[in-house]
Amino acid sequence: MAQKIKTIVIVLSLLTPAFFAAPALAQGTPPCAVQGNPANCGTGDTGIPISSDCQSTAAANGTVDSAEVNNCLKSDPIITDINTVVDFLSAGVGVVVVGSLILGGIQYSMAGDSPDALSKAKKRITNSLLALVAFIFTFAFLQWLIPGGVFG
Amino acid sequence: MFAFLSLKLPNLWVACTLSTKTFFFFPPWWEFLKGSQDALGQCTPDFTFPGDIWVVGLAIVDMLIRLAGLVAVISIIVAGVAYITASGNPEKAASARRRIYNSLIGLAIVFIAAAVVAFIGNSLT
Repeated sequence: MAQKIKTIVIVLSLLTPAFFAAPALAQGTPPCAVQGNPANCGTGDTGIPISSDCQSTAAANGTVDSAEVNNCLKSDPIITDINTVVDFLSAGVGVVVVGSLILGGIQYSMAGDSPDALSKAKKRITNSLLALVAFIFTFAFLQWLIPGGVFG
Repeated sequence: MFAFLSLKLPNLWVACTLSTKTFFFFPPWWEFLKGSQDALGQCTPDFTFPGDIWVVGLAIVDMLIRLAGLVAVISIIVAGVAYITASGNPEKAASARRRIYNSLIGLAIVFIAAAVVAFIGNSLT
């Protein structure tokens, strides 16, 4: 049971960036196809809803390149907020993994000669390395999946 | 929604160097922060909310590395005493030897982790 819950939590946490990215993709394609005057475009930080003037003109003839899509996305306040959160969290991965590795080392030192405590320390170390590998793969996957990427 | 996260107060004060006094080998939490003079003329660390959390986290990691050294040394001393007082009992001697071995392995793990991450971090930036 506990193992099941653990698996679900791990899978969900691996998918979280994808959930973040989903609105980005949903927002990205249709509105960019609207023609308008880019001069009327508000900046993303003001919280003002973006008018149709804000969209890219390149889509008018049916071609959208990734740079245009990125410009479209950058002007969306939701996307900038998501970027803030994702950047903050991904900046912390290294610090947290090193902290957890060092905790595992301390556990190893304190284990003495009891094999129980030793296996706990080993488990912590392997788990933190697994977390690092999972993050790296998620990063690579999202860079591949999303044009421009969700990581600043 | 999260625009307030990147809010930065204007820094009106003069920059200064914070004291890096250690407490029992442990560095202060503001080890990697910059300092500025506050209204009372004292040097206080500048902490901005989202960005500096991981800087403080890095200082906590530094504390953990020092704690690991401390723990390893104490554990080796305890195991050494156990080894001395084993007095011909082969089981006790083997247990003490394992203890010393494990604490050395723990120390090695800590330093390899810290060194590898520092190396990767330096080569990335």
